[in-house]
Amino acid sequence: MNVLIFIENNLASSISLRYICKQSQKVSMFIQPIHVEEPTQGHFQFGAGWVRKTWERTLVDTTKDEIETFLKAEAGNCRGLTKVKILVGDKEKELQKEIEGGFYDLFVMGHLSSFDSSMFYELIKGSFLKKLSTPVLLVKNLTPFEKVHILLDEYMDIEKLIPFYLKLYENAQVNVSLVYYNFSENKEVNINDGSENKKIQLAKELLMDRGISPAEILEIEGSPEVVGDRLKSSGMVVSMLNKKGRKRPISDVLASTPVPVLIIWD
Amino acid sequence: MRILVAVDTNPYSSYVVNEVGKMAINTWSDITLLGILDPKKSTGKVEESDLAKSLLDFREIITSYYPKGECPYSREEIKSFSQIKDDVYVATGKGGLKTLKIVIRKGINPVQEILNQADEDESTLIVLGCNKTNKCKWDDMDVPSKVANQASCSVLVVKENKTPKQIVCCLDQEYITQNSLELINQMVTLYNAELKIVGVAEGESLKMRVENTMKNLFMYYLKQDIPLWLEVINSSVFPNFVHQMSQDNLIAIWLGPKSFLKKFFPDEKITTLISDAPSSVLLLR
Repeated sequence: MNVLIFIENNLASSISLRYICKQSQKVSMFIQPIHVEEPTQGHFQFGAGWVRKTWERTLVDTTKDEIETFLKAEAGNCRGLTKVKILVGDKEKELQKEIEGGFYDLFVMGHLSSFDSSMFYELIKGSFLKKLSTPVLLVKNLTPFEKVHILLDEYMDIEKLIPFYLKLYENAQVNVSLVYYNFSENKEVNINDGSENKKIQLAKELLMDRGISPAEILEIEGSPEVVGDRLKSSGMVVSMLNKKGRKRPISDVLASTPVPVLIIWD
Repeated sequence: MRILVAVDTNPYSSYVVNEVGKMAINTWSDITLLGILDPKKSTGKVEESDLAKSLLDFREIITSYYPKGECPYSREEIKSFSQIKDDVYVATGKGGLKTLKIVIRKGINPVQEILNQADEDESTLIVLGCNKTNKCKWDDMDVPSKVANQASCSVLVVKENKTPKQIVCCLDQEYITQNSLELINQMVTLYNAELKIVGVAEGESLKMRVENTMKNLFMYYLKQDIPLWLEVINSSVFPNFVHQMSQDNLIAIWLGPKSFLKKFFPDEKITTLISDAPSSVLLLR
């Protein structure tokens, strides 16, 4: 798997880097760290041409030292981690260009967990992720990568979600569980085994076809916050979101759960 | 660590002493068990008061957490109290590696007496109990919340029979003391609870200094192999967050001199938090 991970010298990146390095112990991956240095307006007052280029090169050299030190400190022995790419320019545009031209299977970034879901929605609905078709892994906390929960709902294209997940993590030695979510405002959750649910059964069949037997199958009803909290035992929650459609309760679950969230775009 | 346990004769005080006993196993703290006698209501000898009997029982409870021969506190039987100054009586056994003393102060203002004792002992932590049904009062007096507001050290208000799921620590500044970290760790161990560190950001982005502190804590707990949840919240939703979290979790708030959380938790709000929260509250200073 080709992974692009966005790095800054901050806590969110520290967590995301450590987390993806944990994953690389269980899944074969090539991890490309990338940092984009955004020059302030003043940096370009030199004008265009060679002055600007040499100035950018200076910025790259300075930043490279800082980010390389950060990478060394955070992930000294990370399997699959390659040398950092440092770019200068607009963060979103540069990342976009890199992702489009780089054959990446997964984009990873740190996004600290928040009580207020608006931070999650600002990111999801923001111009950068809106243009992205590559799956995005938002790392909110450093969790053990031992259990994966695939979160389903009635609107989801299971035949797209499961193959996408398998393309990335088929060989990962982790327990995979299926969780089908039904919205309610109730703070108490209602759980059944999902044996009557066609979407769950389809997801189960698709996993079984590839030799993966779900560790647990649940149909769960409750408020997004309570269900998000119940997913805390997971090492990663995988789900599918539609950028264009109206907001679904499942996105509130993804917003409120404190564990890393892998979003596959519909 | 020097712990001042302020008690009365209500059942919640017995609960608190048990919690302190469990905490003391790991910390080997110096402990003062303090009771306040209202001079108008108690005219006889201090030793003969119900409070003195309760305090002696509480001392037994704390030492009972240790097997024989391993207790750092003196187990010598206490027969009398010594008056060390006006209206202050002390009883302590001989020997022991650490101090476990009983203090009875006579006074009409229990809050002031507790604060005076904490100053004299240079306490790191004051622990008090209350129950959930009467707005955390001591016989109709707002003792726990007033102590929490006025103390210069950390204060733990323990609600009876409520085991928190998580220890939720809210911080907004970079200055965190070793003592406060130790307290947090003790709470995690005591309740076998998860730990969550919440950085409170003022404005749009998490301030650099808060993030640095969170990162240091993240590294610290990673090295200790203690699982940790990290969360950031905007200061505007902080009161709502605390209200929601306090339903099932122990809320710990760092209230340092530079803390802007004081803005969200002025004295009256601290009082509300302590009186309304179903779970225990820890104010770290």
